[in-house]
Amino acid sequence: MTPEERDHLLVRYLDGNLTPTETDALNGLLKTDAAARASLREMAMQAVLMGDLARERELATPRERARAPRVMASTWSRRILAIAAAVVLLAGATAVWLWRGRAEALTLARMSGAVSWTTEGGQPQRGLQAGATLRGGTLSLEGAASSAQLVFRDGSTIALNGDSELALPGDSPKRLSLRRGALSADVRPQPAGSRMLIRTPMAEVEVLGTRFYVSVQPGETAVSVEVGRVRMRRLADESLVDVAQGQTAVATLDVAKRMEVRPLPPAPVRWRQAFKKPPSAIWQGEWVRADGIDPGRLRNVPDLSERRADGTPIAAYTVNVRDNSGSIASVRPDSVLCVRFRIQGKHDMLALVGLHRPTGGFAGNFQTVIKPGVGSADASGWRTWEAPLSALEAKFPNCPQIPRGARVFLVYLACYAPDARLEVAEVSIQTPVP
Amino acid sequence: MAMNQQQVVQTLLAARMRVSAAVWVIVRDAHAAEDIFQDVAVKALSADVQFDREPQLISWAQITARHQALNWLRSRKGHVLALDETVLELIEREWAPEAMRPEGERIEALRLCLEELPDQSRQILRLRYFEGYSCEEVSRAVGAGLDAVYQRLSRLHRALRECIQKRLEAASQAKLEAP
Repeated sequence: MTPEERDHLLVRYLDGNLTPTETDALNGLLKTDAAARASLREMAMQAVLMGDLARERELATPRERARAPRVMASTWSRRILAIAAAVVLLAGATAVWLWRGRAEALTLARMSGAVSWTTEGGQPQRGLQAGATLRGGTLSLEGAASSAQLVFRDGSTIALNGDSELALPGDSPKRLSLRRGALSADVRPQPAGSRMLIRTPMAEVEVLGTRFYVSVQPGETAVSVEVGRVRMRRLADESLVDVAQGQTAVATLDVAKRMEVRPLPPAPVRWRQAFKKPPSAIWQGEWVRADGIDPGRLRNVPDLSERRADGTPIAAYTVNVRDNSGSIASVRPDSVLCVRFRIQGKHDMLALVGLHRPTGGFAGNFQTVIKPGVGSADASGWRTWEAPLSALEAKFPNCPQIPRGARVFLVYLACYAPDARLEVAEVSIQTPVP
Repeated sequence: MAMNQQQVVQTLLAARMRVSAAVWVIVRDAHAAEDIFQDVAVKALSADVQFDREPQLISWAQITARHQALNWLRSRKGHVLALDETVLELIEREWAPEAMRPEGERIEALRLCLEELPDQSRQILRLRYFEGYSCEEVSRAVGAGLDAVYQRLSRLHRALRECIQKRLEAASQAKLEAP
C-alpha cells in the first residue's frame, strides 16, 4: 500500500466510512506499520490543533461573544471551570480551551455583487468571501443582480437573489428571518421538532422539506412551492394555510380576507415585453412615454452593483425585470434572448439572466457582455441584439448548465457608465418550436 | 508528596494535545474529544485521586481518557470501536516522544502552514475539524464529490505534516544557533 493509499484509508476511517473488510485491513496495517500509526497520530494532532486555532479566532472577538452568548459545550465545561476557578489564576489565558461554541454554522457557498455580513453585535465584516462560515448575524444583498447561496450542514440550500436581507440567529440557525427581498430554498426533509422556520414581516413559513420561494414586498409575503409542502402562518391573525406543490399563497395585513392558495401560473415559453404603457411594478427602470420618434421605453436607473473592500459602492445603471417565482418564461439552452436598446457613446452592456431549476431551486445566473456597435443601429440609434441562452457564460461554476425547462426569474441589463443612458424598448425570450 | 492542584492543572494543560488527540482517534468527534478531556481534568482535580509525579498523572489521564472514549462510543447507537484495543495501546505508547515538544510551537507552525494553503483547502479543513462536518457534509458544502474530499484531506494532512516538521526543525536550529 502506498503512503497515499494509506492516508486515504485513514481519512475514511476517521470519517467513519470503512467497510468491515477495510476496517480489518486497517487494523492489520496499524499493528504492523509504525509509519501508518505515525500518520494517524499526526492527523489527530492536526485536527486538535486546528480546533484550537479556530476557537482562538472565535474567542478573539469579545464583542461578538458578549452579544451572542454561546451554548456551553456541556455541563462538564461548567464543572471544570468551577473546580479550576480555585486554581485557575495559574492557568490564566491558557484556559480558553475550556470554552467552545456549538451553534451550527452555515456556509456561504457562493456570492456575487454587493453582499455583506453583519454580526449580531452589529459589526460589519469586511472582505466577505465564498467559503465563509456564518453564524449569528445578518446577510445583506444590495442591487438587483446580487446573489448568494448558503448551505446548511444537512445539504439544504438557501439562495438569495436581488436586494434582500436575511437574519440568521446565532443560537438557532434554522429559524431564519427574511426581512426583505426574496429567497429560494431547497430544504432536505427535516426531523420532527427541528423544522426550519422562515419568518417575514407578514408571515411565518414552516418548512417540512421542500423546494419553494419566499418573496417579501412592502406589506406582503408570497410563498410559491415547487416540490413538497410548507405551512404559512399569517402573523396578523395567526391564520394558517398549507401550500402544496405547484401552489402559491400571499399573506398581507388584511385579515378581512382569507388567505387564498392558488395554482402557480405556468411560465410561458414565449415572452415579450414592450413599453407602450408603464410596466408593472416589478420592472426596474424609468418609463418614458412614446413620442413621434422613439417608442415607449425604460431608461436606466442607478442600482448598486457591488462594494469595494472599503465599503465604497459601485453603481450599475440598469433596466431589469424580476419575478421571484420564476414565471417570466420557461427556457432551454436554445431559447433566444432578444433586446432592443439604445446607448449613448461606446459602452459595454451586461445582459444577465437568472434561472430557477424546473423543479425549483436556483439554477444559476448566465451573462454576456454586449460590445458597442453590435448589430446595426436605425436612424434613432436603436439596436437589436439577440443570442441563444447557451451563448451566455455561467456566472457560477457550480451551476454551469442551463437545464431544459429552467424558469427565468431575472432579466438584467446594465451599463456601468453614468453617461451611457441605456434605454430598452423591448425584451423577449423565444423558444424555437421543435 | 502529592502534587497540588496547581501542578495538576499545569501538567494536564501540557499533556492536553496528546490526550485529546488519542481520544479523537477513538471517538472521531472533536467536540466529544474535548468533553472527554475536560471530564478527565475534572476527575484529576477532584479529591478522589492523588498523584506523586507527572508521569503518573499523565499515564492515569491517558488510560482514563481511553476508557471514557470507549464508554462514549458504547453509549451511542451506531458508533462502534473500529480499531483493536491493541492498536490503541500501540498508538498511545508511541505518542509520548513526538508530543513532548511545547504545544505553542506546534500551533504556531500549524498556523503558518495553514496560511500557505489556498482558501478552499482551509475551508475544507475548517468545516471538517472545527465545525465537525462529516466528509459527506463537507462535500455538499464545497460542491465536490465525496472521494475528492477524501483525496484532498489526505493530501492536506501530508502537506501539513511536512510543513510543520520543516518549521519545527528550523525553529530548533534557530534556538541552537542563538547566542
